[in-house]
Amino acid sequence: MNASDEDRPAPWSRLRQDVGAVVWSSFLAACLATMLFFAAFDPLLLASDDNPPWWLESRMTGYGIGFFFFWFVCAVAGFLTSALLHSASASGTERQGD
Amino acid sequence: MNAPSGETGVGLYAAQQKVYPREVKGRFRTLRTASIFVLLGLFYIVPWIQWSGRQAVLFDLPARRFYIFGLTFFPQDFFFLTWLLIMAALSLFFFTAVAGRLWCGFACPQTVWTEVFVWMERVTEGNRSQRMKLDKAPWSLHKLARKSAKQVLWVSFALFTGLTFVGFFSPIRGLVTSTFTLSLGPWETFWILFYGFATYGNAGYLREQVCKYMCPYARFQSAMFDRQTLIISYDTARGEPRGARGRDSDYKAKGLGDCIDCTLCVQVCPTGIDIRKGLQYECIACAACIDACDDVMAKMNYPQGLIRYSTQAALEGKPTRILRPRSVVYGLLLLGLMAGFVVAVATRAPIGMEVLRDRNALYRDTGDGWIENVYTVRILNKDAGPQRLLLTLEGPEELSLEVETTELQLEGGEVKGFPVRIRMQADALRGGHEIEIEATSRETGKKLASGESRFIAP
Repeated sequence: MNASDEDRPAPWSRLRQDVGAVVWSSFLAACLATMLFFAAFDPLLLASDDNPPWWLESRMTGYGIGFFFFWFVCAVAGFLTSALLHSASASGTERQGD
Repeated sequence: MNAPSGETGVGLYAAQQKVYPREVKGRFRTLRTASIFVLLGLFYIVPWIQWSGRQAVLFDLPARRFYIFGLTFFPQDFFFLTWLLIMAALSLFFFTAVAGRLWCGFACPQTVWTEVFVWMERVTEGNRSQRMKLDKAPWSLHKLARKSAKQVLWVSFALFTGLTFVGFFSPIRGLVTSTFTLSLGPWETFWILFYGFATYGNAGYLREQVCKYMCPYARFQSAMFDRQTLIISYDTARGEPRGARGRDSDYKAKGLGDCIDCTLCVQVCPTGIDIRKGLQYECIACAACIDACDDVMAKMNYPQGLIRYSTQAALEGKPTRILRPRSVVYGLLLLGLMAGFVVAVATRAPIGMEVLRDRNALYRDTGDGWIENVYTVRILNKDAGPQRLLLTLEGPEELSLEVETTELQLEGGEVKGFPVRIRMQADALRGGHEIEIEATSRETGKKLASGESRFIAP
């Protein structure tokens, strides 16, 4: 009885690894950012303007928009970082395993 | 512990194949099941517990206050949450240093929910070989029935999980009622679906791929390891050279070790590694290989523990020490933080207070010889019960405090603003002066809180 290779998972492709790592780590960072930011700032106070934007009518909307905004920004940073790192080998820096 | 190697070029575009972990029985399987029941049990039951008329554990984000049994926390208490998170991180360091990836195998939501989804898959699609056969078979009524049964179980469990999760933030009894009357708010609906979908995708499909490719802890935990950390390891000295043999054959005469190369340890592994190649960062310490191997060893009448929890030191024949600088430092830090946390929560000021100066006027001349400054004293009662308060003024003796309402009373968890005036005889003082308003309990006469501001004279 041998564990055949066909039922072993193939490693994820580089692209898939990048997307997985960036989406997940930026999600964690966005959770932290949302928590820290909204502990200090009440979304309703951000709207104390005379003409509050429609999306700031309730706290839940504020939290929701805030969370996705942070997630988006962190993901942009993550994708840029991974793109820069993967295209860096041409600069002459030798990295182990490449 | 291996760093992720750079061999990612292999199969750059290879399609993801499914892992079909073989089910296993044994000591560690039982322990994992017990841990899953306790943790998921807590998750699904806690939102239903009531405490003096409201949900016992409720992170009421719309109202910006957290209820945890008798305690109410406000954004001003954010410090406690930070402290709690630091404690959680430090416990993870401590347990990792002493017992390896205990978290991964027994407590991580990713593995815990995956186990439930795998169980549902087994109930509907059968065991490992039945599942592999079913996936290869062409579509038929039988296949459709089994696959849809699995999806029904998965989707309903995922939605229930999403509902429970949102139930920590919005009273769960109301949520359930609104679900059945189709009157859920848009954000509640959204977050239930969001969390439900994340559970479905992570536990149903991604599973241990999350641990392998996405989890930061998996990559960093080796930094907390040392030679005395408990790890799951294969006893190479005893097992090698591996090879097939008859049950009662004199394998030692043939020069074979105890490993019969049945590959069961590989087949049960949810991350698909071969523990016999040594410790790998993909290992989530679920101990399925220990159970599988112990079973085989018993059948062969060999002593158990060819794969076992051990330490690198023990495998090299050196003594294992639980007490060592790393574990002692992590442990003491953790104990210190815990003790501090308990003391801080227990002695937490029951009243929070802010003194806000009226922004519209620096001072007011009442016209009958008095100069007045106007303030709002914002008080929040963090206690569960009501508070009756008395305000007093600390500052230059020329000043006196006038409170509009003499009866300062706040219900448990209430936040209220009280207008107050501080006045002096005209020309008694000049310029700005530091003042402090103190709140004392009417019952005990104890000073509970204070807030600072300035008094401005012409």
